[in-house]
Amino acid sequence: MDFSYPKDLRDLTLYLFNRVKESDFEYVYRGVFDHDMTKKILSLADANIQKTLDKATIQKRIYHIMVEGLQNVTRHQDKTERIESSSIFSIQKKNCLYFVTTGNIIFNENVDSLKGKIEKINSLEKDALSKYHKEVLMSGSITDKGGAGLGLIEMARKSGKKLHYDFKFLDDVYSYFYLQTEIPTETIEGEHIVEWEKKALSNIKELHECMNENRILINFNGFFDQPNVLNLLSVLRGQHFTGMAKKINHLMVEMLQNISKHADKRGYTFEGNPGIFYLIEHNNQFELTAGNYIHKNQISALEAKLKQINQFSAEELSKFYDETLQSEISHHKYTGLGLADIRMRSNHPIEYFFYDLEGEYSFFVLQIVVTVK
Amino acid sequence: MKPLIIQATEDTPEIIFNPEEEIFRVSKISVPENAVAFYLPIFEWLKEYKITPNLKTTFDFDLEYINSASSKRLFEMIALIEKINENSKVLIRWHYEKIDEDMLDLGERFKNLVNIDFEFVAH
Repeated sequence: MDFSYPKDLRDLTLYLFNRVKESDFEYVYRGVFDHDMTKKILSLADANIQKTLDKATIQKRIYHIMVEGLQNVTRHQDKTERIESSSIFSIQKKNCLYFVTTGNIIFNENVDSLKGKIEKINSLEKDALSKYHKEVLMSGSITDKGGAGLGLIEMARKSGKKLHYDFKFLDDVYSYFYLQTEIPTETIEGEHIVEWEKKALSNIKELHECMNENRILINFNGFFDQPNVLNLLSVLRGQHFTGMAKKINHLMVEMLQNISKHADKRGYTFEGNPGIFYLIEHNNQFELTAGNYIHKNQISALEAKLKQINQFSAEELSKFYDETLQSEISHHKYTGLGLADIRMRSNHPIEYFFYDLEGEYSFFVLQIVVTVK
Repeated sequence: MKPLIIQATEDTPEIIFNPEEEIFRVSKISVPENAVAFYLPIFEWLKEYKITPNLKTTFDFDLEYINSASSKRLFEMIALIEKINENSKVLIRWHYEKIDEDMLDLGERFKNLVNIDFEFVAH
């Protein structure tokens, strides 16, 4: 299937950001999953569920489904050298629905048995599923990968909905396996809900393809506050960025805090400011992109600061940095130290642009490139 | 003088200023959103220490991650340490990870802005 995501990096940011509208968030991790990474992903996802959902029982249910889903990936992802072997985990909120989706590569020969297991689970109503759960528990049959479909049964039981799944044929040996669990937080019915349910899985497949194509490792689309910033940093700290991990982490701190400190809330009531951050790995180069709302009357001051910092020679930049360090202006005033810091560390000009949106706000995108030495 | 001990958190550093045991150490991570609030009590302590310091004071800065808001506060701290230098022989040992050139750069920048002896320690 051909998806129509934009190829241009600028448009890509807005495309990704616009995927979530209103009070929703989307958090997607693409890469290799191991035990340590799973823990970090889980804590970031959980923090965001807690932020957007005040029903403790459903929070817990989502948490368990995420654990099962992540373990499914770590246990069953078949090892390949292919770039597409990057698995995906995503948690999304669409109004009253949460979706937990995983995608990983499997051998084609495993497709049918997996399909069979899921179809069997989906054919059972609540009581029958509970009975089947007991049977599988008692039978104690464990496959060589250490699972008997129990994880799938648990996920279906916890969500109370049918499991959505799909396969994407890659070649003679491999396919992607997508599994999606839907968790309703309220029983709302309506055409728009059915519409979301129908599109939810193809929506993630599209995003996965877009992330594979653009080599996006992590995409966080939601509300930025200090706890989220710290969680995102810890997820990235587990990555091996060929000796660049520290630099990338430093740059991320500045970019993420830029959103959590300066972005416009645009009327949202959640803690933190709405924005997007994603990281691209491209041969010997990393690209960090952040986007957030900005009030139109702030643009000219910010743009002037960015232009100034970009035009500095290395010497001038260093002098500006020293002067800002020593200046005794008000502690809370926007000094440009963060931007100067970013420019100095990345050793590239800062890319930026403002998308004109209708009304009082624009969308501000900041992009930084780091080249591996 | 009473030592100043602040436990590290997820985004603020560990501080151990103990004149009796001659330990003056700032370590781990400093990426708080509000750096001003965190560093204020540290500045107060240093101002008091300046009055009757040890003959010799060696500060160890051993930080893994710093945000720019913290750089500003660290510079403020180093400017205060410079004043201690009037009454005590001060040395700043700036630790950095070998692969982390940015951290070394920041230390050298600080060194050039104040009149204190610096020693750079690579790990």
